[in-house]
Amino acid sequence: MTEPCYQTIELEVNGEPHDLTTPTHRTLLDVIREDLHLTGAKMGCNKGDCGCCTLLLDGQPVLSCLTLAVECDGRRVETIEGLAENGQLHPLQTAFLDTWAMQCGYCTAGMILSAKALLERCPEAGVEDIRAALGSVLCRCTGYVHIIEAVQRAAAAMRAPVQV
Amino acid sequence: MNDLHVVGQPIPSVDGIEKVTGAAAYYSDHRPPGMLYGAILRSPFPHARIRGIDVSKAKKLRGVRAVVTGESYAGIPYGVFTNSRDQFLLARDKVRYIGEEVAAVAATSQDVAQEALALISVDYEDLPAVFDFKKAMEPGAPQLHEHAPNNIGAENNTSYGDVDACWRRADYRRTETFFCEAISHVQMEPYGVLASYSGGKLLIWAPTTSPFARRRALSNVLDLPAQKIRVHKVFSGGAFGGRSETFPADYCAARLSIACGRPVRITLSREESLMMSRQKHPMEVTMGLALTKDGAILAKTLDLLADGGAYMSTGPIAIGWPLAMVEIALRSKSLRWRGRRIYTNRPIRGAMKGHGGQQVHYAESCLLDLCAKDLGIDPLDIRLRNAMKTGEEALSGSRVVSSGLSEALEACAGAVNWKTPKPSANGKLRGRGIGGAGMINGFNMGFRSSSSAYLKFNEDASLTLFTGAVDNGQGNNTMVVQVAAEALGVPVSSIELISADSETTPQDPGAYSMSATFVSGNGVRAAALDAREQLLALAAERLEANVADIEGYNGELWVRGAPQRRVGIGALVRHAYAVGRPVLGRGSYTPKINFNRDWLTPGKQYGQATGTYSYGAVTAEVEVDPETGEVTVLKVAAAQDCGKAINPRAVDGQVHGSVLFGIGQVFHEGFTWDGGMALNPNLLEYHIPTIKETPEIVSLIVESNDPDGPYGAKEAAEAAGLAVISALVNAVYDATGVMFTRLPISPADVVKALEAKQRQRRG
Repeated sequence: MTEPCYQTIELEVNGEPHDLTTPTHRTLLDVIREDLHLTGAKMGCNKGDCGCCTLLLDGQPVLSCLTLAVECDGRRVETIEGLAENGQLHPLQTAFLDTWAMQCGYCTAGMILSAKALLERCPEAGVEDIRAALGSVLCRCTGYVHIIEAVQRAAAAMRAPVQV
Repeated sequence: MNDLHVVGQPIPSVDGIEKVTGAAAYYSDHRPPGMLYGAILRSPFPHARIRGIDVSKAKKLRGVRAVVTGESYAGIPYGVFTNSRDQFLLARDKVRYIGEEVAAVAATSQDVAQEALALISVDYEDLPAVFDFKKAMEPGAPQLHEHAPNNIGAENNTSYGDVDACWRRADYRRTETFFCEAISHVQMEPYGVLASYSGGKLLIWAPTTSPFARRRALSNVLDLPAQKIRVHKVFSGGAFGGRSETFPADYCAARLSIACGRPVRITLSREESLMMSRQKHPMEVTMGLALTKDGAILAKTLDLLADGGAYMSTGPIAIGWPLAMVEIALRSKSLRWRGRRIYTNRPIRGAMKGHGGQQVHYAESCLLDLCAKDLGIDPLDIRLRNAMKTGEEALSGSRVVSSGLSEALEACAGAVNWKTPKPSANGKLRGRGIGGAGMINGFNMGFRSSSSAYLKFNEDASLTLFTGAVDNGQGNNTMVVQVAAEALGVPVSSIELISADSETTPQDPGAYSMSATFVSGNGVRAAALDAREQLLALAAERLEANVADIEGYNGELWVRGAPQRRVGIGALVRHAYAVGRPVLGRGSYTPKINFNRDWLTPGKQYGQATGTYSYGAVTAEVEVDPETGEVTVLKVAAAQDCGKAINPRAVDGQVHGSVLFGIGQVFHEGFTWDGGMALNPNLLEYHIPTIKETPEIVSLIVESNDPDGPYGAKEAAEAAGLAVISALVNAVYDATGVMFTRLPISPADVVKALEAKQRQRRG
């Protein structure tokens, strides 16, 4: 077999810098899962159809199965594992948990990360914004009703003044 | 039941924290040291003889550690039933559909494994193939299996009551034919498996509906004793019936690992998962109804033709089992049933949500609306007229243990103001539809019909619960924990759950046939009550009171009427350990069914089919654009008689999911074919509903408090899931005046049907 080309890249993942040497044809999803062992991002189709692999790249949702790792050199990646801070769940995680916005859980990381990007861009997001932002992630279990409710709840919690 | 403390509470899912933090480990998240990557070579022919396979070049490729073919097959052929073992999990001499497994390789990377596949050469002799299930039954058609003349793999003929007499004396009769195309479960997790063989023991990590059934089948096909196989619990990315069986990938990963002594993980692509795991049976149902003029059903006749694809899978169930649902929702004086499952050179069809029940319900419930229209009876009223009630017996002698069907029909009708006129719609066509259905809760699964559980208390009053119950995302883990917490009188947070592991947990039916809540929940309750009795006895001794006077919950016990005389469970447990009477609960539940009833043998389809029945009813409102044919689902109200909602939020979620599944099946989903090949084996062209297609959904919980269910509970959404299908189709009928007898209904179908109707009117 033809020997692959390798390239060394620097990724900031969940706030931590990583230097990685990888064959240039590998995807961000492969590198995150296989090299960094962050398995919260899931492979659902490897074709960009399902959104289960969604990660945030410089704050924007990307389909990591269609993104080459080498394209991300010097950039900032967020995965589901990076959302909780000091053991405190992110308001989206709390809301998904409380509303049963997940059943099998396979799409959950993609849903939560897509919602995080939305709420950071648009804290007042309404139902139609939520539908638009999460439209690229498929879920077969929930019928999406509790997911919409969870994002609304999280948006309200994030807008509320921080209690001291 | 008013003094429940945990059951009935919408507590968060007990394993939700792992899911929202990314910690939940699915099979593909496990990577033991030394793991290899497996890949499978598949047949490009729909029907061919294998004259030879040359793997020598593949074996020599750098990085390849093992190559296996059907030559390696040492055990017996795979089959769900002892009399349906028709499939070698790696093809031996013939392949019978495009994608059938021919060889497998394990290599140090996925890339190398794929490259190795290209180096395997297979000498095929192309054979004539048959793709149309009706042509497959004709004389002279290519034969798939020697044991199945005319490709009829399974047949079920039965009848109850005097159908001919009822048919003759009816005021009104109608017969129509309905067809559903093949659809896929589309679990978001593509299928895959990790196998590790070492020291004579095989370890398996794979999404499954039953670790016990999986172990049994692997034991058969690999010729290994059961105790030398352990099927681990993993998080499972959805099942919907599609993780029920043992797949060639399981065999391949295991055989490769045995061959090279290293763990092997095989991950199917989305296309492989869609085409080469299982699909829902495409089914043609010709149904007749005979009624009195006031809408009482006198006779039902059904003739089912199911396209089973290349192998038997769960086929006999698909053409027999729906009978148990048809006879239990809308009563009838007589019923004639004929079901045939036909082999074709298409992908294998097996279990999926309702398992033939949806296809049959679609025919019955839509035909009923046609009849109701002709008889001038409201679709709600005709259902209420025939809805079976608690205590009634079906034609086969199976009793309705509890029924909330009428209540469910009234509830979902109320949610859309059924009897008020439809709102006008600006050139669009508005319609309302209704459906109601019944569902079994577990059935005769032989020695696997019962569920057992045990639990042990720890010194700090926490406990570990062991149950074979499986959770593929339905919420069964939370269900069993809530049941155990309620029965024991302890907080949910004190329970550690060990489940669905073939080695450490006791036998369970698996999450098949809607048995989890009713059967597994009851098994867990029995074990918890056993431990509770031990705790009460210990407390009575400690508090010097009668056992009958001890009560308490939330981890404490006290004397009734004298709550100051109390003791914590932790103190009792420590005392029990000290005196050699550790608190170990053990229990089992066997549903009260007639184990002589089966679903194929004429004359043996009598007696109690299931421990209980659940019911569901659904109304739908749609808007049809006559120009484009597009149907917009505006609102769906789904009422589920779940007996008692152990966790109302979990039940709501199940109902929402069933509604979207129905929308997909009615309006979007279905494979399109070129012979044996699907033209849309990906999620762009095979469209499942997205968040944008979620209508307003009203979930209505009906609680009939089943006398035998754990705290009155039954399954949580499958009955409503059946009814969604006909509610949607009947709503389109109400809007357009056209009854669509073929699913899915595309916008082009709607436009064509409306044009045909106009031509008819003009002509």
